[in-house]
Amino acid sequence: MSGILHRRSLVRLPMWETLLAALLLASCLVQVILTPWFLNWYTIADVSTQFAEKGIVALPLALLIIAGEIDISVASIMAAASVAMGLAAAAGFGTPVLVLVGIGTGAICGALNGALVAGLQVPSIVATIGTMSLFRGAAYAVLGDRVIKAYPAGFDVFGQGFVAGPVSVELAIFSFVAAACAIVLHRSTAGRRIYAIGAAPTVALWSGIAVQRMRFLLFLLVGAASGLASVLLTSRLGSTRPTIAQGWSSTSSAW
Amino acid sequence: MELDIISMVILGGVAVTGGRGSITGVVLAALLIGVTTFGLGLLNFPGVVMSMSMGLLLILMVLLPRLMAHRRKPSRPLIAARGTEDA
Repeated sequence: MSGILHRRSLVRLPMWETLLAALLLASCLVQVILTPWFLNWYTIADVSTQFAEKGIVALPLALLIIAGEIDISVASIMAAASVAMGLAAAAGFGTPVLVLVGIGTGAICGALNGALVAGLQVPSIVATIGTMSLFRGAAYAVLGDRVIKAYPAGFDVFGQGFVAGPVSVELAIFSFVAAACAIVLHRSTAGRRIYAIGAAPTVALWSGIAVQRMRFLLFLLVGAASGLASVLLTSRLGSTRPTIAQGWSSTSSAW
Repeated sequence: MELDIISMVILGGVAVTGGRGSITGVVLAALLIGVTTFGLGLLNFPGVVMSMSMGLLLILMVLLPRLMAHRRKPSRPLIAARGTEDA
């Protein structure tokens, strides 16, 4: 049954995007009618804080899921990266170092996931359930009930800054990540390999694709993207708690 | 939050079984979730309602292709799909 559904869906793929675009348009129209505050240039900036951080993780995660794997430890990676940045900030490092620490911590966590799945052959859902608790636990173990707020001036530019007019730094980074992921997935040999691995891993392996190396690299990429999202989230909130990036309401409670 | 992120990917049309999906879909799904949550916030809906409506949207969107497939005339089975007669 899944084979038949798979084939049909493949043919209708552009229709799905049309449907999403129609829903997006409908959502905007309903809001234009219902509230007088929606038609405003700065709505773009406000809306981008609702999806940019999650989207930056969702895009590389899409590549990983297309390759047939899953990573549910992404929010815990964000917490661990935020704690690492907090400690670096408390030690007196400047903004460029903090960004490197955030992305680096994410990449290390992603490499651990990748080593478990690609190296030790642990199923990705099992491995990342484990590391989800591990990374979140590490954040709690280091920080306890403390809050780190000692971020240097200028660090807030990532989460609160604007590139031009209503285009926030977050939106600009999201657009860049989207373009990069689109090129990798749809315009490069790596992208064809990702589809091949996801559709039939054994066939991909026999076709000479380095399946395990690709899996490792994708986990590394998702980890680094989670680190980047953590930089934006920490910068926007201006503080680190062990509960950072946990639950839907924690990000939208500002409303 | 990890589930919000995975929801975005699935709403974007990426198959959880792998091998299918596009970046355009994920970007549109991210925008759709962003705009809708923002709107629910503007209209003063509590966070619980946002969470529930996002869950409902995800389930409905995933069910939609199947509901539409049922309304069509059953197509001739594909040769490659043989061996899955239990479907």
